[in-house]
Amino acid sequence: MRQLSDKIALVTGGTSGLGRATVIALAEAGARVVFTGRNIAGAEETLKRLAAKNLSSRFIQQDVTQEADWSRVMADVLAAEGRLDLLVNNSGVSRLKPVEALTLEDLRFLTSVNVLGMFLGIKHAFMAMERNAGKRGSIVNISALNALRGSPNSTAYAIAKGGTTNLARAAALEGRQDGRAIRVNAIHPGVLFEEGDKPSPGAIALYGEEGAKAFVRSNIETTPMGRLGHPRDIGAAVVFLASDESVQVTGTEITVDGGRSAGEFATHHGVRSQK
Amino acid sequence: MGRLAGKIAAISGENSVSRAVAALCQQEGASVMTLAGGDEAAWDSAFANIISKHGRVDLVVNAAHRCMRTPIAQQNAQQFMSVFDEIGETAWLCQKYAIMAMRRSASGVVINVSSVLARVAAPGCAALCAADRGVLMSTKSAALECAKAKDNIIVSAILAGRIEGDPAHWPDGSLLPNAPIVTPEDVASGVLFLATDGAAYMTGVELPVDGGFLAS
Repeated sequence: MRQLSDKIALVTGGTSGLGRATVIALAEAGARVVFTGRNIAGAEETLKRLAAKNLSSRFIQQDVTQEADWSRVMADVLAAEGRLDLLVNNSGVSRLKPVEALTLEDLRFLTSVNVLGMFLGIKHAFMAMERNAGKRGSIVNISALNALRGSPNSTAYAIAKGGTTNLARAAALEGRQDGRAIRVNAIHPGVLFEEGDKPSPGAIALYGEEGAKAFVRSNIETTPMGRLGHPRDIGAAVVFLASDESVQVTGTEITVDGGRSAGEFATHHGVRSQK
Repeated sequence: MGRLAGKIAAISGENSVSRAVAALCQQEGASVMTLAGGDEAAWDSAFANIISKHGRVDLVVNAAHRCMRTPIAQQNAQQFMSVFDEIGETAWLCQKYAIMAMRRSASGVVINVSSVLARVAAPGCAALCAADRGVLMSTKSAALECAKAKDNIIVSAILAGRIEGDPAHWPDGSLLPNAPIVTPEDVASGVLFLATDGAAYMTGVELPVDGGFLAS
């Protein structure tokens, strides 16, 4: 029997990168997966990649910062699937800029998606999971190493991801109260690249073409394992947290970072923002 | 087919956790050996025996542990060192010879079982906390050495929570009585996760299996 046979999972931001890899990993482990996001073209790509593996899923459009969207998505999942066993709060955004270049709008955007979006997800998942047998459920917040350590150009991101991780810890304690067995954990990925070592548009905007290449090189050099992660490297951790094998794992972070945070925190000191 | 099918696993310790880990590894298809350590020569020959019999070792789980709960003022240095040696030195030796054996086949996973006392102190636990923390940091140091040597060896730690009824892993029920109770089987499941191929990008990490104790 596969690890997640009979589990019902909901993944936010399943329309690209890590979320898409998570949808695929959960479906491969036997879960029935519903995923959400804003980007319809991205959703079609996720469904196409699932179909290529003879797997399926269902997409619902959602803005995670809107509570009405959460009510609608949960009602849909509960009506169609009967219950919810796993929520992966994956939708997240990043804007890397020096502190003096960050605007209040940047900060509000990052905290609304990374913190408010995940808070609403946890709230609505708790309400759904309380109806499960044994009031059981599992929630995973995709966070970042920036939750616990600092790095340049990421003051707003640090606030947001610090919130993502500590939100999981606080919710985990409530998840054990009142006869509930709802587990809440965070995952801390290292530096992930989906398409080989090609710099992201965000890195190019911040550092310029050449600077972005240097940024990627320095991230490889500062990762003890000597390679960047791929979104699929996170899959096993999500499957473990979704499964009954992790019933006593809650309120913690699972770090999947090629060794980056085991020692000196490797920041890209050699690369200066152009802004 | 088991998730450790065809793997050679060696487990140290004689307690509830080492037994649960051995049982789960066997259930998942690994050939399981028991490591009886001792001095440096004994560890060397323990791994030499495994290599001569199986040609390699894929997974080493160091679950040896011992507890003592005595206030510092009533402890002597010998008592402190007896706990520190049994936990810290055993982990160090097990890890050292495991890594040397794994370098021959350029792959392997080493998991050290520490406890939540590596992060949260309690009265009477000076030796235990120091030793558990020592195991954790030695795990991370070894992980960085292996990663930087590019020899494809992963080293990580489990922080076990309050295991009842096994004085080798938790001194007694009156220590941190609000900590959730976890079972040796819960700890073994964490080991299995870190040992499987899907976790290959994780090294030098600490995985608490503690029912949420460290979150508060």
